[in-house]
Amino acid sequence: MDQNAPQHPTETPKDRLPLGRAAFLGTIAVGAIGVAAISKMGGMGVGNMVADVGSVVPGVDAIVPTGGWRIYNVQDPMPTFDPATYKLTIDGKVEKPVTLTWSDIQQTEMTTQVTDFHCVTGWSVDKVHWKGITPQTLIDLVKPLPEAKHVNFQSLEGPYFDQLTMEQFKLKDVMLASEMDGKPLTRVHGAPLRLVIPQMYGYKNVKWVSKITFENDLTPGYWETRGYDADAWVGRDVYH
Amino acid sequence: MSTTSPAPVSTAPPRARIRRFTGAQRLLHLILAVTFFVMLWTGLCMWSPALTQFMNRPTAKHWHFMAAIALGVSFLLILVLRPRDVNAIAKEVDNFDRADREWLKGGVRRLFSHEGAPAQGWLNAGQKLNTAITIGLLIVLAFTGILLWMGEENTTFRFAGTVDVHDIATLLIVGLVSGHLYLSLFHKVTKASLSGMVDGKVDREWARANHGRWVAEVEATPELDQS
Repeated sequence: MDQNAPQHPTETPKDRLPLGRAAFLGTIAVGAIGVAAISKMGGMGVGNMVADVGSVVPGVDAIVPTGGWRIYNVQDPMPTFDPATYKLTIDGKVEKPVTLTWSDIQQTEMTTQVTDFHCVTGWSVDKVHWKGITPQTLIDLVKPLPEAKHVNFQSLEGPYFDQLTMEQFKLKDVMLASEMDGKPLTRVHGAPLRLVIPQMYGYKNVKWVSKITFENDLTPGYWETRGYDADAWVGRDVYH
Repeated sequence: MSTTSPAPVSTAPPRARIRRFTGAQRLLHLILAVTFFVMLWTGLCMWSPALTQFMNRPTAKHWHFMAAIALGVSFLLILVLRPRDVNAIAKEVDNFDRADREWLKGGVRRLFSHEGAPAQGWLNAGQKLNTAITIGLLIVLAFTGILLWMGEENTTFRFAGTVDVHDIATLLIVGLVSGHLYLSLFHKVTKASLSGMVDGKVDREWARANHGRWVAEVEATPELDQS
């Protein structure tokens, strides 16, 4: 022990109050109550508040997350979409593997939907307008073989991919989106194509999709190999 | 009636500087400062679309965790090895007397002026509140951070309010640290305190003017006046 440490001798007059302890414990209590109360409200959307301020200033969405979104990537820098060189390959256990150019994709039939997006880290974005290609359109295009039980989605972001079962892929609100909220997907949101599966948490919604492979085998995705749940159903408390 | 010998009075003039913080206290402050800015930078990289291009999420998350663990372990080590130094801060922070309340009345005005403050003890009321609330916020950030981490792998622990409280606590602590930096680096009266966290000592006359009660207490106990 440092015998030379200043002792700061203090008397304790009657008018002393333990306000330091009160401030310390009060801060922790407000934090704990805040988590419970805000969770009960379904989230406060601090990110959305920033977005409301940010959306009136051009270019601010490159600096702060707007619209309640947060931008995650696993490799630096995030992929850049070049319409002249971009290709989407669909292969694996299919009758007719194809490679589509950006021009081909633009001519493919698309539908729209409005769904909520939930991230496993706790934030959500309500009522996102998506426009994209349905799984049925892709299935009609390549005709998967009967042994195709899983669908892999490879991202332009090197190590990132994820996988759905055929049943999950065929859910009615799954799509390969090229537009979000009435505009072409931006780079940070996965341009030119991202998988949208609203019933699962965001890490299953692969961004910058460059290859779709129909497979027989189960292959854990990027985050699944790091402990995340393979079936990331929103609102289902799954412990594995 | 008993008699006691008077304490020997030193005839040496007081040295120009007075010891304010021990090595352990300064080390804890340094570790807190370094780990705080690592956590702030990595947290911003996980939040800002512009910064996420400089550090991807897995890397940022890794260093965010490492910094938090380093801070927690360092605090516990210093608490175990130098309990007296940590307890001295805790005791000082906890006690608010009349002089502290008087200090608080003009605290905001003095932030932007050069006027002197009422005589204070070792820490003034603002430093006490800043310390108590900052440590409280660090604990809020730690438990919401642990919830976020657990919720990613087991959605039983995913709560809609966790990320909001983590965000709000971050905004508050950034505000406190900004004020702390302003006062220690730029404010004409208080920036003289910076040396206390660099080599442990401050100018005795500055301390007498700003922490007069503490200087009087230390000078009245010669063995404590380790300048």
